[in-house]
Amino acid sequence: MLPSRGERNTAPALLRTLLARLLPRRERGEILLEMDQLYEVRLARIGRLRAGLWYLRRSFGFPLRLVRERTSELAPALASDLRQAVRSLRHDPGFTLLAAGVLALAVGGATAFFSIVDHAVLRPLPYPEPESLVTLQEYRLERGVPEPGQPGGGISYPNLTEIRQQVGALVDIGAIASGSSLLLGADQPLRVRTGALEPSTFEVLGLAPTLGRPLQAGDRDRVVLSQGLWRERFGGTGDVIGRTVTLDGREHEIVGVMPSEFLADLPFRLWVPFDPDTYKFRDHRGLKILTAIGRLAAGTAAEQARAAARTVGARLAAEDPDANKGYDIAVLPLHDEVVGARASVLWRLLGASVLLLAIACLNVANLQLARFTRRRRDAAVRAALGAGRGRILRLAAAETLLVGLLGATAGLLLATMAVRGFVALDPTGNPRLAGAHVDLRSLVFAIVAACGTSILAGVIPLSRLRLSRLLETLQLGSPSTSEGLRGRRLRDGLLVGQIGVTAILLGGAALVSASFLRLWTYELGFDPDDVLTFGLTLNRDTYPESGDQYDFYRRLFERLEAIPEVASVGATSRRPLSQLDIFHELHAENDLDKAVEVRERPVSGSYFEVMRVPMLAGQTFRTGNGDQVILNAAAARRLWPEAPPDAAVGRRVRFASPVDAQGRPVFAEVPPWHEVVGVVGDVRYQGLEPEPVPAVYRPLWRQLRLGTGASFGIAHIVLRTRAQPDDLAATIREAVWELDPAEPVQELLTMNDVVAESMARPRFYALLFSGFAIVALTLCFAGVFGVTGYLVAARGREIGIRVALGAPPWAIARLVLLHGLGLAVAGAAIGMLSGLGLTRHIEGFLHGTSATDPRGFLVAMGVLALAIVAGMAVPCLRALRVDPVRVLRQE
Amino acid sequence: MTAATIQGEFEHHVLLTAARLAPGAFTAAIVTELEARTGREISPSAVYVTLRRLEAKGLVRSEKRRGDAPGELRDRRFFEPTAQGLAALRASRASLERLWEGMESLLGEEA
Repeated sequence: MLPSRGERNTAPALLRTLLARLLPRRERGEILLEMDQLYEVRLARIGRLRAGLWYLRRSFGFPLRLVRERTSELAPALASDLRQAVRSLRHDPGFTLLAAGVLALAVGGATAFFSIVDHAVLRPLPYPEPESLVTLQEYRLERGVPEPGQPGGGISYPNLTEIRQQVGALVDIGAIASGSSLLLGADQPLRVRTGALEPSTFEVLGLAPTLGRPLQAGDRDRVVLSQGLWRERFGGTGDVIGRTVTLDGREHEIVGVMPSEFLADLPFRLWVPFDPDTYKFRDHRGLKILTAIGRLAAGTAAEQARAAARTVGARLAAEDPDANKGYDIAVLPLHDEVVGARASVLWRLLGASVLLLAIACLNVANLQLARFTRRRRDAAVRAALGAGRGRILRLAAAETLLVGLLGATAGLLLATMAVRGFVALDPTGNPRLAGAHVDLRSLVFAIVAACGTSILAGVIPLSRLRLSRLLETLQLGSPSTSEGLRGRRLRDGLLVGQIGVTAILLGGAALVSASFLRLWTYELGFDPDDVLTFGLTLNRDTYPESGDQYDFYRRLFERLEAIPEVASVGATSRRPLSQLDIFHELHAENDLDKAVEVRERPVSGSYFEVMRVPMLAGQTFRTGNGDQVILNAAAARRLWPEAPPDAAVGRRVRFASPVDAQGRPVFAEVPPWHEVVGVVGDVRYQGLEPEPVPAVYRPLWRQLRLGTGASFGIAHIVLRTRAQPDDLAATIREAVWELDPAEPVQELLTMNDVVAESMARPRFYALLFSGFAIVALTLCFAGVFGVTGYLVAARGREIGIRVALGAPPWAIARLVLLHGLGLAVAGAAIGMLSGLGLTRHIEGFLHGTSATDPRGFLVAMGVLALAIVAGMAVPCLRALRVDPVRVLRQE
Repeated sequence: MTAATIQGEFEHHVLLTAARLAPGAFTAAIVTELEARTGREISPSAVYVTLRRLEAKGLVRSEKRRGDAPGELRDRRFFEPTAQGLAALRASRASLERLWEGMESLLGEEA
């Protein structure tokens, strides 16, 4: 028997309130009532405490079970929605394929770039606890803290020692000195960049070697190989440990091989121990050329280390102003240094692909709008049969999700291919990209992007859903669809948006492509066909005197000229189209005050013949004494602007005397006069120059013979061949090794390869942006096609009536086209204006073209106009074929 | 339409108890009765959810009204079996009896 009202007590207030909060409103009162009753019964039987415990135990079963019941009720409903959605999408393959295709293209592109940015920029460094790794750099205060990835930062050894002792926030520091060595013992003699590492560097970075062990304190004559060198030149076999190689004439034992991520951003192919005792610049505070990597102590912020380093830097500047005045020491995150300047380029590319996603979104929204309006009757019937707004929305949501998933799947496939293609073609050789692939994070990104876009695109039309208006459709009974003014404005707006964004992308592509084409068509100034080039760096131990070097080259030339397929041989100090040049100032004989900056190139006399650089006047270097130079036309014009370039022959020039930091001449003697013996055509040496740079050529052989000049035994040989240049590679190597088997043949390439390499980056970006533009254009075309087609269908009655009333075809065409063209112009205008605002983002990709060059935009607008007209063409034709009789009969 | 069936022993117990207590069967009363008869503690939420399920299957019907007990101030939900529910009970019991046929000796030894 239940207690009567008067004796009733309710459950403990706290528990009851908690339970109330967890229950849905509809069931709350009922459940609380029942639980109160049961509580009272127990209260009487077992007492307050145990009744309270029972209440605690049993109350939370309610929310749990209710949720479980609800989801199991919902599941069949969702399943039914999905089945319905699949069916309805199957009946409308045009829409489904088009929408999914649009999404796939855009999502594929965006996912690909997300993957790339993720790997190259966002991922942490491959070392343990990468956030605590920093680099130390000394920098000039007036120039400010260096930008990430800016080359040239370093620290001097004595200053580094001070930091090590004084800055406790840095628990460990390793220094790396850069060098270059002759390596013998690999498959051929090689000249490699070597890094001299303090063994502590291995501990700082914490990466375990692939084979063997890292360098340790006390190691002498040991070497650790990089992964790349090991695989390329040592066969990638395990027996390399313990083998001996010769570095610069000294035997070294290979003790380990490091993984490819180890210091991947530095150009070193192997590492040797850094020995402070033999380090040439051990006491030079002023030479700030060591790379230093440090690890912050656990729990320390970079700020502490920074502040401490600054204090030390200030003290050092005070103690040794000659070396340190004006310098400070920066502590920068290693991640930023490694990622470097590439980050901004990649982010911009990601930005462009997000623009594509925006176009896709607008496109799909328009498609959805058209479809929804077409199927209004469907929805109206459903509503009449009792489907609530919620159900109709759910159905539509299911459809958008399915389309989104379709798009995501296809997009992922595209993205995988795109990433592979990008990594393969990337001319920057970004080591962080090597492992880039579409992974779980990219998968999530793709699904979110596709479904997000699809849902967003679906929301716009759905938001206009009004049940009452739906039912009106049924009542009106009209088979065609009529749209309010608002609806038309909405889809027009969407199309204008699409066209605008497409215009931006097209403009960007036009600029980048134009820039590339300009480079491509630059007069190089020489003939790169049938020319081979390779580099030699003579070992100073084998050829200590420049006379020995001259001897070697003379004999080499004899051998090379003896090869029947070789037509002529020449030499220069640096590889053509390389970017390392020495600049001097020249004075003309009659005008000592004028100094013209020229690029200096030591070359052999035969160089011009080999490269087919036209000799405009005079001749190449004469044998014999007397200082001679050859100028290019640009230099001659600068030095003697009032005369034609060939008049420079016979005149004299002088190099400006080198001065020190205070402007005092370094040498006491007056520099000698040089006679201009010839004037040659301009050569674009850096490949990417818009204007030829003035250059002066000096006789290479004379420099070698006399020991002047800064060749250091480095020379680049160029050969003009009669046969296909590739066939001669082995013969040339043999010729070199007959003279000296320990002499590495570096960078044996055809001149065409060298030219292509110098243009690799602009070509790559031109390709990329064109790719973007093509996709955008396709999407835009599809959008215009869809919208115009819909317009024609919607106004079919009107067109039929007009035709019946005698309207000529051009009037009908005008009806269709005018509307579309109006939108196109609006979109293009918006796009162009926005594009002008965004130009600064493009500048990094351009060479020699201004970002605001209107010609690029005009071309882009032309292409866009063509695409839009093409998109309107078919629907327009359809409009012209509307049968007025059929239309009238429907009335 | 296929006849709804009783799924599981618990549904059977709840339906049976509801039939016993009808027309005064409400959740708390069913819980108390079940505990008294089975000697086990019964989960009120399980009974609540089972009653809803039985109603969805058409085996019980419910009605919200003022209770008969003195001092009842609030409406509560009362359950009673439908004709289908009673039929399901009958069928269920018949199956059990058939299954138990000739097994008294088993029960007898273990009792």
